[in-house]
Amino acid sequence: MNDELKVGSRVKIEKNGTVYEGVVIPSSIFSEKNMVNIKLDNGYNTGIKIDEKCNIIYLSEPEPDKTAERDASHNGNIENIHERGNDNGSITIISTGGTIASYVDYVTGAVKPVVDGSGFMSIIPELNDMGKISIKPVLNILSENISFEDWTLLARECYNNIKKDTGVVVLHGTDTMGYTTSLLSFMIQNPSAPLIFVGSQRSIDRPSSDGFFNIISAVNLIKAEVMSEVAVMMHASTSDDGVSIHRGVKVRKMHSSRRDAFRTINGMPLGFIGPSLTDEKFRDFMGEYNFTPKYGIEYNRIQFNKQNIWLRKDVKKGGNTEFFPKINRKVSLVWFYPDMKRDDFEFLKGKEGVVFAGSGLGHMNKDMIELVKELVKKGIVTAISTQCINGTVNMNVYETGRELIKAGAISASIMTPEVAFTKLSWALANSSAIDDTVKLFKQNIAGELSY
Amino acid sequence: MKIGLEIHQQLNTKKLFCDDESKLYDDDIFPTIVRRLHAVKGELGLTDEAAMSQEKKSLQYRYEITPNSCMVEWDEEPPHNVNGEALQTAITVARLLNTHIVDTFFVMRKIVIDGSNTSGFQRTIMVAKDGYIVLNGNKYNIETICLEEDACRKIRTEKNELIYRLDRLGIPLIEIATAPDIHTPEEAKEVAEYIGMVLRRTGMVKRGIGTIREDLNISIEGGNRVEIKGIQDLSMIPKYVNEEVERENNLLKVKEILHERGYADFPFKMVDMTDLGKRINSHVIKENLEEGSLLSLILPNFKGLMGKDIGITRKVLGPEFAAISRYHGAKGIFHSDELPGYGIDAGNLNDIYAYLGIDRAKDGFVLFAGEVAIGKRILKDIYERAKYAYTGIPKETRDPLPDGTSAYSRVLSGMHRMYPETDILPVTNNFDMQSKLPEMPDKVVNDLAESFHLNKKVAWFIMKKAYDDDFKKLATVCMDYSLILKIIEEVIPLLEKNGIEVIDLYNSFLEVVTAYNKGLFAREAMVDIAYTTKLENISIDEAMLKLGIKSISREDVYKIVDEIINKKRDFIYRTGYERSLKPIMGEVMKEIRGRYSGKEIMEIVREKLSLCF
Repeated sequence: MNDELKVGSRVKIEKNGTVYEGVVIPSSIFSEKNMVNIKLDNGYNTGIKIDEKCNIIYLSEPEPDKTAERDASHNGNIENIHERGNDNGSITIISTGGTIASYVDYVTGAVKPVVDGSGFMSIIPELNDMGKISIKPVLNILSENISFEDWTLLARECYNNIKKDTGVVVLHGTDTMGYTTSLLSFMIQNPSAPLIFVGSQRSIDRPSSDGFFNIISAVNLIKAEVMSEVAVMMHASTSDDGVSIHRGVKVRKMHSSRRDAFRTINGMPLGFIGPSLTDEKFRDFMGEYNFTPKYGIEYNRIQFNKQNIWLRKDVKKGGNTEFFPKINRKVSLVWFYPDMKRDDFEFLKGKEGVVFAGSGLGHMNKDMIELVKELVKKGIVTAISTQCINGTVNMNVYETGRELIKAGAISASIMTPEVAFTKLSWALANSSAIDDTVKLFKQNIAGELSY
Repeated sequence: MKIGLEIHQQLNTKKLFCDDESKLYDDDIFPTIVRRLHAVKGELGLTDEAAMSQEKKSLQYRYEITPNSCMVEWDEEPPHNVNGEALQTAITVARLLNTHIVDTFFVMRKIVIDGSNTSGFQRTIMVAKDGYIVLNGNKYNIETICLEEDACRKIRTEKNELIYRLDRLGIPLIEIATAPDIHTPEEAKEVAEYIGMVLRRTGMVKRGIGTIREDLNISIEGGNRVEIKGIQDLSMIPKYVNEEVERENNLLKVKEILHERGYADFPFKMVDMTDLGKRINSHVIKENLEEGSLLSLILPNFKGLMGKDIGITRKVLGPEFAAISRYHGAKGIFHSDELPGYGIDAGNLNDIYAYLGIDRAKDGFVLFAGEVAIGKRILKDIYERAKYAYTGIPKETRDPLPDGTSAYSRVLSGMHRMYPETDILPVTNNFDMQSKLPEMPDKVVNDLAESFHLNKKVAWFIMKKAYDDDFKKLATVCMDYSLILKIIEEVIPLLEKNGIEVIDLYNSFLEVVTAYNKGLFAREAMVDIAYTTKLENISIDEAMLKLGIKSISREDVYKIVDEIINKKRDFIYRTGYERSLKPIMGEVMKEIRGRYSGKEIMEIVREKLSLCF
């Protein structure tokens, strides 16, 4: 019976002496059999179980979808609308999907990525007054689905735009953003313009989305022309009072849902930005980093376009962009746990590198040390990071660590397991011999080994 | 006149989408977070008008974090599953109100960007539709029953910032919407009270001020739908209706006058008169000109229409303009019908008319002193509102004021504000729909009247006050029901006058009733003692001491009666037993009142008096 009810058509269902009139909406994959979902005229969605006593009257056929048309008429098309403003610089916003560019999916009832970037400017009309901005949809994925192929494609797109733009903003899902930013930090070195990754923890279809503030702050930072690094810009606190600027190789998502989930690990953020970012707020934000010795890291306070920007004095600016597009996907990341057995690692066959997230200072049990020996013998580059996330790997302190070194494992030092993973996959692709790979891995390429 | 009601009742369960306690916190120092909200497109790709007009205000919102707010209330974590107890209660109410309960419950988001919800929307579930109640022989249709989350409490407004408290956010609310079947103000009150009683029959609702709130939807002939939102005192409903009718009638009169003067579409014309403003010796203007400007909006043909010297019973347009200004968080507006005044003298007024070059015999103007950007928004909205006076009564939402009138709050929301909550799966209705329902108020009242030999009216009164259960409980302690009634009818209103709300009648007065049973004081002293203990929050002993009530012995009573009879012996002989009984009793009562049972005093007086003859 449900099959007859076309989604979008207007129906009247009489059941037990009452009438449900409205537009048929898709049933979710969890919907029960014979349940028809309707959007009533009062705006509510409701589900009605259809049985033989129901009387269904078709009122009208589905109306053609006018959303796209309306968006287009509202915005013109992507190419010509953003040519306003007489700024010299131009900014490209690359969209890849994720919460920041997501909409309600009426089929699953879940949040789904938008298909094109054209509606985007109408979501954040403030961008229309911020100079020349073009939107470029490159990927359309939730970030947990990103692949090495996607990374290659995205890196090339970013590189091409960095060369010509004042800056590039990438809208990225937050789940794997730290992987992408660290990998792209190795692939695109010494960028001449900032490459800023922005996400949102609340989908952009909510009035409370953090994405608005994050995106606008990113564009403001680019327009200030004060740095040119690969960075992540997300809320500094749960309030809409400041956005943190994290170096792309130092950042990690540390909370599943909060706005301020992104933190610089083993280091200090590149800076903070916000229209009402007082000295006091700046000190509050810095106070969050009590794990990290400040190592004499100093900040400048810059004012630009009603924004207060606090920026590290050692931030890089105006490089000569180098592009290393090759990456090697034959790398694994393994989280060590007690009583782990070497027999479990059949899947490492054919790999060229593996990163273990060891315990404490970078440890694994005896059986795994044996495995490391084998791996190294087979020419698989084996790195050890720490699942403590904060703090450095130091394999000299305990016997276990020393044995791991003896077995041929290399230390990831202060890199997070994820950064060690992306770095190894990049280093493998950009070196010819194992020694070179290890050398590259240990070299401080984009600030990943600095605080 | 057509009136529809929306009744919002808080439930006494945990919060609707997390496990926080549903309670409110007194003023204290709480940590805060700051947010801004952004208007978004709805499901149909349109942005709601009400939502847009809120965003125009560009306010920021500060939220006080109370111990009963977790990351769900901070909008930092997806909502948890719908509280089953709350949903079951809503279903019970739906059954009591003869409605049709839906088969799948969808959680919807209703966009509200006044900051009262951290998410920018209120979550709401339609539970049932199309039911009815029968009251005084009339049938009133129920359109929908929804279960929704309560919003934050607004604590105060500061410049560009609204301060809310998170304690109330997420408390489950049952919303019952009636059809516009109500035709008189009194009827509206009665229907509201009756539905309140039905809700209480579930035993799951919160009690006390602010736990039940009403929205009134009123439309009169020639008018438009106006919603007065958030009335907390049900007894005020008729007053709000009457005041609204008067306001609308006055607006219709204004419209008539405007049409008599001849319709003219006029352009938005704002004039900067800061230089002139600097010469005006008005405190308010001076204060605002330090960093701002003096702006003026010309309103051709509006002379007199903002005041009331045009044959209407009350100023209507003037207060509407003032409310628009307040809506934008500004004060400092004046209109020509209230000038000279506020330090603007007749000379200044002449200058203003000359400056604007308008005809003072027929034109009006509005002045704003302050920041230009804000002034522009305010004057633009006032301009739109003024033009609407030609059309009639705008559809809008209004805030109830304590005096029974109301003030403009925002434009009325449309249906585009609703879209699905994507973080929660729809819930299939597998709830218990067959269990025995609580009895309806009518039945409870009948039983009450019968069991305790009460007048029906009295029984309804007890029911309305929601003391039915407490009355029964107290009656097991005190067989003298009229005494309990005395508490309900005399003590409670006195306490309410002093701002003291008694929700738990039983526990509030159990001690007093027990003390009376023990003979600590007489029946006559009951009201005073009960009132004093509650008013001053003191013990019964303290109250008796304070009131000078000491219980006395039977011997003491004999002594007092003897003394009085001795003093009045001449009078007694002259008037005789029957006719002297009352005056003598009066004298004795003056001495003893409250300290001994009046009934027994009467016996003693009779006995002693009879001995005289």
